[in-house]
Amino acid sequence: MDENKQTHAQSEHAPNDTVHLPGGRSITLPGGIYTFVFVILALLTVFEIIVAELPDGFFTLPLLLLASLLKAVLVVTFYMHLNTDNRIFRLVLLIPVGVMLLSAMWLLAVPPVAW
Amino acid sequence: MASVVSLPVGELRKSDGKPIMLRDVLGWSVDHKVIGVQYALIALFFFIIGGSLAMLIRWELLTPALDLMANGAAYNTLFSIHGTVMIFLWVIPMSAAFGNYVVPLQLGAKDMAFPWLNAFAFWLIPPAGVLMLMGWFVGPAEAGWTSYPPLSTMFSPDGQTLWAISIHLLGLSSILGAINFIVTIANMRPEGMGWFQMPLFCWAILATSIIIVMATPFLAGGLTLLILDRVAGTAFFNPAEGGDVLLWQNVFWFYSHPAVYIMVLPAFGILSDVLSVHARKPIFGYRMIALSSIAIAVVGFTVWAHHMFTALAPQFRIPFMITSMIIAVPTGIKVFSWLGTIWGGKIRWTSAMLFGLGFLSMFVIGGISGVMLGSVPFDLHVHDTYFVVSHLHFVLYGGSVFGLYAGIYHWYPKVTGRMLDERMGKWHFALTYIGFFFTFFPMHMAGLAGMPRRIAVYAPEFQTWNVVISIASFVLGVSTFVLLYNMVWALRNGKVAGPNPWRALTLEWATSSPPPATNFVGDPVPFKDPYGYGTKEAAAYVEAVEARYGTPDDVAQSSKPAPAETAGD
Amino acid sequence: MSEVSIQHTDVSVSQAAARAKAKALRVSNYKFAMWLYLASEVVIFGTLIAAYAVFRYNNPEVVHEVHKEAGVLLVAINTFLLLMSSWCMVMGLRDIQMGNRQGLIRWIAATAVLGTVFIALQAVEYSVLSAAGVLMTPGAEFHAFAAHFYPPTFFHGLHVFVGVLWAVIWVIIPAMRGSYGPGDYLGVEFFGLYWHFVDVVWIVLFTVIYLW
Repeated sequence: MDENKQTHAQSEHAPNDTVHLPGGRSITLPGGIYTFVFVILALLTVFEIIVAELPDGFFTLPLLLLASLLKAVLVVTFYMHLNTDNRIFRLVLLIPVGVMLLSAMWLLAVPPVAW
Repeated sequence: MASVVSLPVGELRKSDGKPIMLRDVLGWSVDHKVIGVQYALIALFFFIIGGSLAMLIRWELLTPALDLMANGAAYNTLFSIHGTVMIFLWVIPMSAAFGNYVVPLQLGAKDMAFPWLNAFAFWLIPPAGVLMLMGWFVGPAEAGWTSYPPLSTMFSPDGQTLWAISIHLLGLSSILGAINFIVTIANMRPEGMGWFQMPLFCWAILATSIIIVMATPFLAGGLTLLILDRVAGTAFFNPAEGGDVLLWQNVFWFYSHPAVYIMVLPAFGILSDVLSVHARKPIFGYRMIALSSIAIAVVGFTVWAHHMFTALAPQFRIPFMITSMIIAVPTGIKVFSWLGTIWGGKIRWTSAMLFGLGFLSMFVIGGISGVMLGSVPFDLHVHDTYFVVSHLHFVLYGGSVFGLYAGIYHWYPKVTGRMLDERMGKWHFALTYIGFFFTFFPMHMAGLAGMPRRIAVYAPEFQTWNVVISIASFVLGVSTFVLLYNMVWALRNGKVAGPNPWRALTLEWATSSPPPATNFVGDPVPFKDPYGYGTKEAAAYVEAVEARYGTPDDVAQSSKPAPAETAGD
Repeated sequence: MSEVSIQHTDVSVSQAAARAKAKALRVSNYKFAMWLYLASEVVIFGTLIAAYAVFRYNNPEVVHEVHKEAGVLLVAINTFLLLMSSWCMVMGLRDIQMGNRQGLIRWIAATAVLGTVFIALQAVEYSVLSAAGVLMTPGAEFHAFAAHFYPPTFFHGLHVFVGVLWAVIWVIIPAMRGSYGPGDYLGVEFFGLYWHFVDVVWIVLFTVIYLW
């Protein structure tokens, strides 16, 4: 990041406790977007625990995975500043995650012992 | 249109770089040039060790019976440590040696992005090497370099644990090195050098580093589980207690197939530079060579299970067969581009060029036998035979090591300021080429005839081939010492190289040999095309370099009192 | 075409601009390296999680039984603690970006405390599980589960531990001595990347190991 961008980011941080929501509305709370994200993370966790405690169904695993994916994306985007930082960092994160998912799926697909 | 040759002319006509002394190499240094030499020296040391083990293997295999070794287990340790040492302590560190020495110079940078980290990564290697060899005091690893459980968990002596820790350290070292390379290449290119004006060696190192960062942690994870299984009583790989014996194979090959490209991509990069320089012709298909490295890096992650065809449920074989065939395509692109490069070139038969051409011919054989092995019906028959041994040595020796040899002949003048002797170089090439071919080509026949790998006692009908192989391998072993002698001899007696003995256009040649501590005086501006040979502008650029740093004759004049006690290569 | 003009390298760049450029390069170098390091961590954790997932896939009953024994309350509390610590971390970064060093110290101290409590609760959880027979020793009731459960969670706990040390040694103490300011928060950001990454790993571990 070069100097200009850094001071720019800083001035962005300074005054705003306002979070603009997609629908054109906005919320003001101390800590701005960071606090907002934290609230969503907490809610998602509660949601996950409820889903897990309910009897297992077809949707249990997909819902869990979806919620945890969403949480991870939120943290990475807002707390680790991937939304504003150098674009190449996204690549640096996404490539190994892709490789990981590929291998994990493969390991799941292979029977535990040879055929 | 007037082109811009950006080197200031008319000053600084002598070499101000100090040769790297033995005492620099033995101590802690954050200079990437010293670190590069350190890597090279330790890699060559382990090359000799790994080579000696190979000689013992071939001696044992002269006869079908067990004669040299006390028992089969002792033989198992030979090929286990031979494979591991050659891969992790010779080919990979030697590639890192070139990467460290050459990449910052080619980028016109003063050093790597993180010099301290660079030195730290290097100093992880000596303890790892010591651990590896210490195995002989507690019973060394016997499970092959692949270390499949249960061989590696239940039957191998304590040396296997040391082996695993040693690989762990080496993995950490190469991850740190790779992070350093990626950041250096991405951020420290000089003005005027976009991604596609970068020398192809840098592309190769970039692709290699991407693979290392993503694949090596897999090995670290797998090794951690292996160590836990061995010392902490867990059972990750033991089906009797709920483990999964294929887990290791999956994790190991998920690292080790990409690792094959970790080993060969730097050699690809060296080859691109060497062929273009010594054929005096622009590289053919620059973009294709650069991007095919990246393609290999990516596709390389999807082919690992072709090492496990025989252990795999049938429905999983075909997808891996297809990806294995696909990865031959970017490799083929490279081979054809190299052929296009030398086609119609003004070829100079230097030792570097000979090894480059040797690489081309031998690597293609290895690549073709690789495609053969990638097809399931064929692989099921030759799995774990000498055919596989032959294939892997054709790509690793005929590919990587020939490439590294070419790199040694090509960059030795830059490192030491002296040329390697060309006559010895040609002898080295002839002996290596013939010894190599007759060592490894007959292995195809032995393998097809059904000789399994990793055995000390074999059926008598295979003896003829094995005698041929062993004798040729002794020639190959001897040939290495021609190079080593040449490297030591040339330190004092080699011709003075001057800044740019090959009249090359990449930036590492636009400074004195050896380069000064800060690599360049002022900020170098690269020539617009690193491989734009054959134009008047290129000639003018080379002349500008010589005018600034002196021709070999100038340098020889000014450094008449020969530098004393130089060591290193 | 063939005329060649020789241009000297430009040395007229002002010193300040050169320094700013060098600093920007340093910042981007370090951050890039940090991300690459995290990329390799992704893969290490991935291997461990994948190994667990394979086990979970093949032995659903065992996992259900352990979950029943352990309950979800303790680990849910732990999850909230870690999420909260991540929030504290980013609030600390925000404060130092606005020039509030006291705020930075307070928020990062909260982060470190939450991390410490997390480790303590994980120790409690381990002892509960050990009592229920989740032990690494062969022959224990849930030996196989233990072998797949402890490595990823312990490895993660180790990361939290390192993170707490990092917070104290490289963020809080230097900040108390007067380091860091609105234009100089790379060290804090660095630690933040690490800490949030550890949090992300926990988010995945929590779902895959404790809820699935």
